[in-house]
Amino acid sequence: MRSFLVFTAIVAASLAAYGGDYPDVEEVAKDLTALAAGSEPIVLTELAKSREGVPIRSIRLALPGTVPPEERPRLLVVAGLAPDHRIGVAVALRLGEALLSTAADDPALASLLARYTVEIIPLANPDGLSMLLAGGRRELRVNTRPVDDDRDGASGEDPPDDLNGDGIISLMRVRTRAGSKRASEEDERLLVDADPAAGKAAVWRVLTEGIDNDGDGWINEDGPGGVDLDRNFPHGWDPTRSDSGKSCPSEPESLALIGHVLGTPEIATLLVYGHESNLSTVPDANKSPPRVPPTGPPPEDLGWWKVLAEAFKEACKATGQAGEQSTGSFAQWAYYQAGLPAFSSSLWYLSDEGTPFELPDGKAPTTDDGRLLALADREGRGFVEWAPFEHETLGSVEIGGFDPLFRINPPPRLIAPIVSQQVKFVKELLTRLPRPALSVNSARATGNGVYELKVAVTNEGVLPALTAMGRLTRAPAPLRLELDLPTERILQGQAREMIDRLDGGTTAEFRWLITGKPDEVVVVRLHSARCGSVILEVRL
Amino acid sequence: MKRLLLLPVMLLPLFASSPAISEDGNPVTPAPRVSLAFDRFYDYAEMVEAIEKLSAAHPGWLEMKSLGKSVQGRDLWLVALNDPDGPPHTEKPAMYIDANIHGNEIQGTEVILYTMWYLLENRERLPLIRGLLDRVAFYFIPTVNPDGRDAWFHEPSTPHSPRTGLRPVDDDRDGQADEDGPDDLDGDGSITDMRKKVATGGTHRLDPDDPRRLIPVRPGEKGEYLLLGPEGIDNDGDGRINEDGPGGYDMNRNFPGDWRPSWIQWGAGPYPLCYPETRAIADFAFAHPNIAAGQSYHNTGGMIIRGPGHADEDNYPRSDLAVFDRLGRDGERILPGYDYKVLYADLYPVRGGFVTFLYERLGIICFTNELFRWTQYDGIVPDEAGGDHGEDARRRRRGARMKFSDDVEFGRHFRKWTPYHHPQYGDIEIGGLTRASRRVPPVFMLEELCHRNMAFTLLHAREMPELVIDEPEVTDLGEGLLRVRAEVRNLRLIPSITGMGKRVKAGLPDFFELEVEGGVTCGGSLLEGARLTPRLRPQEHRPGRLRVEDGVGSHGSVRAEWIVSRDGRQGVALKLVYRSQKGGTITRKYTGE
Repeated sequence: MRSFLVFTAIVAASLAAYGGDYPDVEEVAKDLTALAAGSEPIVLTELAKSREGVPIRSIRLALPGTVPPEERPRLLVVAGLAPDHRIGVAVALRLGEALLSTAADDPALASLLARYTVEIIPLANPDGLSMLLAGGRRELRVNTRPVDDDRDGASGEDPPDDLNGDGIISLMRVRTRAGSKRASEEDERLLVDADPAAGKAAVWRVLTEGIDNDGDGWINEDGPGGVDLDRNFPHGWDPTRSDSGKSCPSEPESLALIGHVLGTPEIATLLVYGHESNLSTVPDANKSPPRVPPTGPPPEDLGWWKVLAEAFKEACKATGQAGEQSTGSFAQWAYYQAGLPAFSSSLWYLSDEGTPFELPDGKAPTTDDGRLLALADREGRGFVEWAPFEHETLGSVEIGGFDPLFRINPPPRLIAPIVSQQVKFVKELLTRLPRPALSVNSARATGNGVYELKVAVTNEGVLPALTAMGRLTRAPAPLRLELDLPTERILQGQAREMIDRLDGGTTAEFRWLITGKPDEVVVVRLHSARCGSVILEVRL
Repeated sequence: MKRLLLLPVMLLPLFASSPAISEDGNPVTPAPRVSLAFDRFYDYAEMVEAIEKLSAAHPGWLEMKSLGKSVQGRDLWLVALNDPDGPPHTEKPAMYIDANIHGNEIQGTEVILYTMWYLLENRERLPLIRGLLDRVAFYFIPTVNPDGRDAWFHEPSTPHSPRTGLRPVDDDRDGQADEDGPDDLDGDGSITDMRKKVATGGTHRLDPDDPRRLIPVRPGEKGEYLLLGPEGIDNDGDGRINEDGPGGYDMNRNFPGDWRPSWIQWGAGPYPLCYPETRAIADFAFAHPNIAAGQSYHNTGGMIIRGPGHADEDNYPRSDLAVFDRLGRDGERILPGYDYKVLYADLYPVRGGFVTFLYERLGIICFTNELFRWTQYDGIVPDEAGGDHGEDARRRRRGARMKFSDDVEFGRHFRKWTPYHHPQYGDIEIGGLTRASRRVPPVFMLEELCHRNMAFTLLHAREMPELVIDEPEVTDLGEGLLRVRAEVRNLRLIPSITGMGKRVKAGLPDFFELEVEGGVTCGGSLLEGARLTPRLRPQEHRPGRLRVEDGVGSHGSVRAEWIVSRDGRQGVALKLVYRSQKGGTITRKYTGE
C-alpha cells in the first residue's frame, strides 16, 4: 500500500504541472517518466519512434500475482491517434494511476490487477499533437507525412489561417444565396442546412478560416500533413482518400501499433479512445455474404458485445449516441482482422448525463449544436461570436462559430470524472475476460491398467476464448490442451487438442483412454497466452 | 540521286560516336562484349555476378541499388538501365520489370538478364534499340524473392516449392513455425513423391502405357497404390505430415488495393506489404511516378495476363482496355503459343496481386507473362474440339510427354521409384518427377523464351507515352494582346495518364504551362471538341499553368490557348512546357516579332 501513496503523491504533483488544461507532448513524456519512476507496478516501454523520431511509449501496470506481468492476459488501451482527441490522451494518461489508487480500496479490482496486465499507450501520434499545438485550435487527425492533397506538386502549401488572430481556426461565412446554410431557429448564431424546397433559402456559404495561400482558387485545400492514423489500417481501408495513406498501415505509428498487437499474443482485448465509438452504439450484425469483408460482427459476437456496451453505459452514465465509424480504423482492424474484442469510445458525449444544459429562458436545447452552445455560454469560451472581416479574395465575410477543439473535448474539469468512469469500465471489462478452468469429470480404472480420463475445460468469464470473428480469420491462436504423457500411453484421444471455440460460460469435455498405475498423477495443461494457462493434476 | 547522297550523312552520327564493337571477323554473329550463357539457370550469386559483369562492361549504363534485405538477409537488387549521356532515368518514362516473386518461378530472372544483356549489346548496333534507349529507361528487379530462388536451387525442392517467401509462419497454429516441412528422405537433393502399395483402399493404379506413372482409379476399379504426397515424415509428432513447411504465404497476394485478409485470400499475410520484399518493391513504385509500363514474369502456361483479379474490379475504363487489348494481341503474335488472358475470368480470382496493384492503384499498364508452355516443347496440342479433354485426355498427354522427355532429354527429370521404410507409413516407394520437370523450359529452349518475351516487353516499353509540342499558333488580337494556341501530341499507344490513373488520382495531373518574356498571361484555357470550333475550358486561377487531368490520350492530343498581354508594341518570347509524370517534361520555345 505504501507504494500507492508515494505514487499518488508524485502523480498529483506531475499532473498539476499542466493544471486545468490538456497535456502536450512534453507533459505526456514527463508524466510517463514520473509514473514509471514513482511506482514499482508500472513499467515504461518504448514501442517505436514516430515519423519525427519522437518515442511512442506505453506503460504496463500489474499488481504482484502468481504469473509474471508480461505473461498475463493483457488489456491494451490506446489513445491519441487523432491529435485533436485530447480528452483521450488526458484520460489514458491518468488511467493507470487511477486504477492503482482505486485498487488500494477495492479488493476486487486489486485481484483483477494481480491476475491481468493493463498496458496503456496514451499518445500514439505525438507528432500530430505537436503539429496541432503549433497552429491554431482546429480539427486535426493526421501525422506529419507530407501529402499533396490537391495534387498540384506541393504539399501543405495551403493550410487554414488564423485570420482574426484569436488562436482558433473557426469558420468564415459569406452572405450569398449560392451557399448552403442559414441561421438556426434555435439560436441565430448557429448555422443549419438550408432547405430551399421548404422555402428556407440559403443565406451563407461556409468555409474554414483561411486564405488561398497558393492562389489556385481553393481555400485551405492542402493543410500540413498527413495521414489519418485511424484510417490507415487494413479493414475497410479506403485508398481513394488522400489522408488514408499509400498502404495500410503505411506510417511508423500505425506500423508500431499493428506490430505490437501481432507480436503480443497476450493481448486479450483492446480499448481505444478516439473519434470512433462502438460501445455507445453496438454495430449491426454482418450483412455481407460469406468470404467478403464483413460489415458487422457475426451474430454470435453480439451477445458479449451488448453485455459490455451495457456495462459501459452503466459505468459512464452515457445515454448513448451514435459514434463515428471511420473506415480503416485501428479498433476495426483489431476486431475484424486480428479477431480480438476491441472496443472504442470517444469518452464524451453532449447528450450524456452529467453535462446538463439549459438555455437562459429555462428551456433545454434540442440539438447537439444547441447543447454545445449552451455549454460554451456557461463556460464563457468555446464559441467565437460572428464578427465582420475583410477577406483578401472573398471580400466582406464574418468569422466565428465553435472552437473546433471545444466540440471534441469537454472542459478540462470533466477529465477527472471521466477517468473515474473509465476505471469503473475497465474493471467491468477485466471481470468479463475469458477465464479458462480445468476440472476432472472422470479418472476411473477400466481394468488391465487402463484408465478413462475426462477433463472439462470451462470458460468462467463472459468474453469468448476466441471471438466468432477470430474463428473466421484464424488470427488468434487456439487454446492448446495437452496431456503430459508419452504418446504410446494414450490409447484413445489426442495428446494435443486445439480448442477453437470456448464461449463465455460454456464447457467442453475431452476424453482419453490411457495406461497408468493407481495413484499416479497425470498432468493436463491448457496453454493460452491470451486467456491464461492452467495446469491440472489428476490422480488416477 | 539526292537521297542516295544524303543517306550516309544521316547514318553517320549514329555510328560515328560509337566505340568500336569488338569484332572477331564474324559479320553474322559478332562476338559479344559480355558472354552470358542462356542455356542455364542462374542462382542468386550467379545472377548478381552476371549483372556486375554487364555493369563493368558498359560503364554508366547500369545502376545497381539494394532496395533492402530479404527475410534471410539477401539484397533485393534494383537495376536501373539508362543512357548515361542522356537525362537521368527519373526524368524519362520508365518500364518496370520484375520476376520470381514466387520462389519456384525462376526463369523470369533469366529473361531479365537476357533483356539487360541484349539492350546493352545492341544499343549501338540496332537503330530501334538505340531510339528506344534515347527515350526511355528500365527498372529491373531480377528477383523479388531471392530466398525462395536459392531454396529452389539449393535446398531439396519440388517443381512447385517454395512458392512462398521464407519468413517462418505457424501454418498449423500449434505455436511452432515451419517445424514440419517436406524432408529429402532418400537424400537425392529433390523432394519427389511417396507411394505405397496396398492390398485394399488404393486410389491409384499403374498406367498400363508407362508403369512409372500412376493414374487414379475409376469408381469400381481396384486400386493398388496410395499416393502420399511429397517426401516427408511427421517431424512434430502431431499425426500429420508436411503440414507446416517453410514460409506459408504468397507475396503476390500482399499488395494494397484490393487486398483481403488470409481467411478470404489464402497467402495474403497479416497486412499489406508486411514482408520486406513486397514493401521494397511497392515503395519503389510509389517513389517512381515515371513508371509508365510494368511487367512481372511468372511461370507457367504461356499466357499474357492482365487484371482485374476479381469480378468486383471488372470496371476498367474502356480507353485502357483498348490499350491492353492492342498490346495483348501483339504479344500473342510475338509469342506463338501464348494466349492473352484476363486473370479472374480466364484463370482464377486473385486479391492483392502485384500487377493489379500497379494498374488499379498507380494507373500503370502492366502484364504478367506466364513463361513456358508444354506445347512449345513437345508439340502436343490438345484437340479439345475433337473430344481431347477430361481426365483421360490429360493422362494420355502426360504419358506422351513423359515419352517425349525420354527421347529429347534422355530421362533427365525422372527419379526411379525406390523402396523406403517410412516411420509413419511403413514400406513405401519414393520417386517421380524432379524440380525442373514441369514449370521451367528445358535449357535448350531457354534462349528463345528469353528473346521472345523480351521482344514483347520491349514493344510494351516502346508504347510508353512520347509527347511532342507542335509549333504554336500566335494571333495578334490588337491592343497589345496575343492569342497563343498550342497542341501537345502523344505519338504512342499508352496515354500520359491512363483512365484508371485519372479515376484513382494516381499521381499528379499533367500541367501545360506558358512562360512569357515581355508580357503576362492573362487568360488560359484548355480546348475541347471540334478542332475549328473548339469549346473552351478556362482555368480561372494561375492561367499560365493549366491542369490537364486527363493527360494526353492514346495517339491523342491536348490543345490549349492563352491570352497574352505584351509589355511593349512588339516582340515576345514564349516558352511552352508540358509536364507529365509518365510522359516526361517537354519544352518548345517561340519568338515572335
